[in-house]
Amino acid sequence: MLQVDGVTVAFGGIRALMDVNIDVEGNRITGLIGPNGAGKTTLFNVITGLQRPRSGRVLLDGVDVTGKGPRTRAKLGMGRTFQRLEVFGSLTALENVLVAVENRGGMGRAARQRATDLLGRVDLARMAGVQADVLPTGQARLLELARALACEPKVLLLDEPFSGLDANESARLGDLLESLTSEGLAILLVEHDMEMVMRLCTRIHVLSFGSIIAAGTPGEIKADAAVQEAYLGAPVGAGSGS
Amino acid sequence: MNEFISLTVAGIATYGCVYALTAMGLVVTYTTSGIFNFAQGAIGMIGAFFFYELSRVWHIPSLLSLIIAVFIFAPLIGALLERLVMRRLENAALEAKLTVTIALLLLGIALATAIWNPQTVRNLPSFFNGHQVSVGGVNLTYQQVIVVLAAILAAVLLRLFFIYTRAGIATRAVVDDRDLAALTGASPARFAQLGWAMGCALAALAGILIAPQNGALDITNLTLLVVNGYAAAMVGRLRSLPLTFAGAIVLGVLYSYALGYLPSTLVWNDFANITPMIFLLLVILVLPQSRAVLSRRIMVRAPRVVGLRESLIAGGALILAGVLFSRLLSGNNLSYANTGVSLGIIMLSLVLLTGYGGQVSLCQFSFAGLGAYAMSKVGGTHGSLLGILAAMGLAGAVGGLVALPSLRLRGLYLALATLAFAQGMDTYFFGNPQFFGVAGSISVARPDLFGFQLSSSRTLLIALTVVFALIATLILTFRRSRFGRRLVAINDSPAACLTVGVDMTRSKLAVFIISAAIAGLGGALYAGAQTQVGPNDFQFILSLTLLLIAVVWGIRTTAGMLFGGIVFSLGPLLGQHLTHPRDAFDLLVGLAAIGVSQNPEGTFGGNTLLQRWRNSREAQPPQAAGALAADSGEERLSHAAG
Repeated sequence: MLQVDGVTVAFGGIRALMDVNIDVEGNRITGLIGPNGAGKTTLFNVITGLQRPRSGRVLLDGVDVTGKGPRTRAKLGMGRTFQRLEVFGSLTALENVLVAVENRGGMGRAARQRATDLLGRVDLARMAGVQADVLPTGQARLLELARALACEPKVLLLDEPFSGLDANESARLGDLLESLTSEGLAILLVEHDMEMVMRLCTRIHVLSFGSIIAAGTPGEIKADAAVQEAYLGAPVGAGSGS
Repeated sequence: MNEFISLTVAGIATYGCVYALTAMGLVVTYTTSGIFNFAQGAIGMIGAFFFYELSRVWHIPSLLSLIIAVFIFAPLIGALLERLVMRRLENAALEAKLTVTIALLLLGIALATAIWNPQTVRNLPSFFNGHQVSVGGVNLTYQQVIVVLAAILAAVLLRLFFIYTRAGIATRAVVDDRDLAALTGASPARFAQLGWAMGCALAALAGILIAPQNGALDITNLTLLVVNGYAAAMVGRLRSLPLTFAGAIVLGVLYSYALGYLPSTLVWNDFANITPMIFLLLVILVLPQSRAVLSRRIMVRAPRVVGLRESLIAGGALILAGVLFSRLLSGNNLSYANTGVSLGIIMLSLVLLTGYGGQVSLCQFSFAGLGAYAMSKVGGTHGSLLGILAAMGLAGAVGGLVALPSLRLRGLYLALATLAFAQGMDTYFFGNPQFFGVAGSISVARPDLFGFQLSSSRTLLIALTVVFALIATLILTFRRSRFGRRLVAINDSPAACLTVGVDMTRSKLAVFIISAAIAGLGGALYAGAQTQVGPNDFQFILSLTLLLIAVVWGIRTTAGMLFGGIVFSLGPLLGQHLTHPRDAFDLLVGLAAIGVSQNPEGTFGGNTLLQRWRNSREAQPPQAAGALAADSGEERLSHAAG
């Protein structure tokens, strides 16, 4: 569904990403992990068109979108959430989703209903009338997810959606993501919660200093020596008790 | 050829190097504090006057006076401003940041007028009494030599400071990422203070050096001369000192050529004088913008969105008040009320554009003036409805033309582009006898709406309150509409809008046109209320005051604009017994606007007790959602807090 093909990004003389290749398939969650500063968010920016790569291509559903702007990519079915929150702070939660629904041509009461449904889907129905800026971080992330879903994406890029959620909420979000993939969605998940990543993802890519150092099933990644190294010797998942 | 050389030399030595000084000052303050100092010109002007005071009144030797003014007085002002005002603005919205330094600009002018009576002629002689020296066949005054040396020295010192000193390196780190720099133990606030001290010192130096070259010291002229440095700072994208320096020299030389080569007719002379503004406009439009779209999360509680019923009730109450006051008031008081409400209508144009859309315009009075002009030409002696439509149409169309090239600009750059446009309008439209008559004024008829002739001031007041209520209701309806939501979304997070697929350009253009049209309508009514208007009624400096008052009263509220308009119209009353009433008013407005640093949402914009109480009620999950859901919600909230 989404192919990242040999993407390289440089800021000045520093290479932020080097020849990154990732395949994100429909019906499943693909994981992207790596230490802070590895280039995960930069890669998201390249995929969504906020950052131009020095070389390489981004293909969405077989279409080369490398030269296209973020708006076109959104229209073609790319949705994302942000690690550093980007909610519409002075709008209510409902209005946040409504902006996206209306941008897809939704109007009047039907649009409102759809936005309400989407809020319900991420468990935020009660917060519909609350201004987005006062939502706790975890709920703001869920709001971004609802807003992204309103764009009817084929590919969903999630940047640390689990941070700020408690155990209960995490479990529910995990279930939601799985049900979304069962509807055909392709999800690329950046996450530090290893337990979640290992549980949800069918395939995981490990990014370190701008390069993919490993890719494989959760089992393979756990066993990979290079990954252990990148995480400074800490066994993957040890911190979260798996 | 000889003329060419001497013009080039004058361009570099007289103007270019002075622009370089002030522009480098702008860059230093911007890079260290993230605030563009609109008041740079005023600080330069005050520096020059202070220097005059020391050297000519107190008879302190020139060199010593220079040292006191540039190395003690100005840095002290800068450091104080940073400590008392700017530091609180770190996370404020752009319009609050702009407002505060614009307030400083007006405040500076008003203060200087209060201290140094403009009627007194003050001449600052050139250094070494204009003696000349010949360098390679070109005659230079010592004054020019000093200017060039000062500029080069300042540039070199700044460069060395940023590259080699610990403080300089830390300052650069602060520029790139304040939070990150803070983690390493650098104190962003301290560097901002240093930056403001240096920026103000450079402004003062520029003011002192340029002052003798333009005859007697003049508050407005000196301020604007230093303002010309803005354009140079833009060449360096407010970051690069070498590019800024180069830009200043190019600008100085262009200005000098314009003065020297253009025919000395009135029109061309004006053109020469606005060269820096044209240059600014070109630079802003041509140079690539920074592509960063990711926003900082600003935790400001937006005012509650007002419902239709509530706005209709408020509108009705306003009209009733209009009827009441039209009976109660008479004479001057009635005309103050009329002027006030029509100014309020002009101010409403800012709610949509700046309050919701976050685009700062510094030319709303230019649009108002266009509206007045159209009304006067098309409306005829009876003020037909057609005149009103023409006013809105002309202002809206020009608004679109202004916005079109500036659409990709954001924030500060857009504000500067509108400032340049407003200055151009002052010179070319309002100051032009072709448009505003040889006598410098046009008469504008009061509108004749559906057979109601509003020539009586009493009926006019009622009509104005009706129009105000209508437009305010319309704006509030906009806010609750698709269009309004999108506008606010674009302001809140451009990055999210892009990834959701929102067409930002179209919305921005639309809001600019609508806002300009409202200003045009307000302008036509304002002119009608006065019946006679002149170029001075639409000066760009008034657009600055307008923005300040709007922000002070709460730029995201419509009620605030009514009160703001009335305060604006009562302004001159305030200082009736003073020599310079306008300045007394600006002094107060300026002070109030600096208060914005304490309360960025303005008087009507929240933070009031009533608003806090409402907010606390809203933030609670509704009980109707069921006890279970509400329980888990609270649990979640407490979880997030812990």
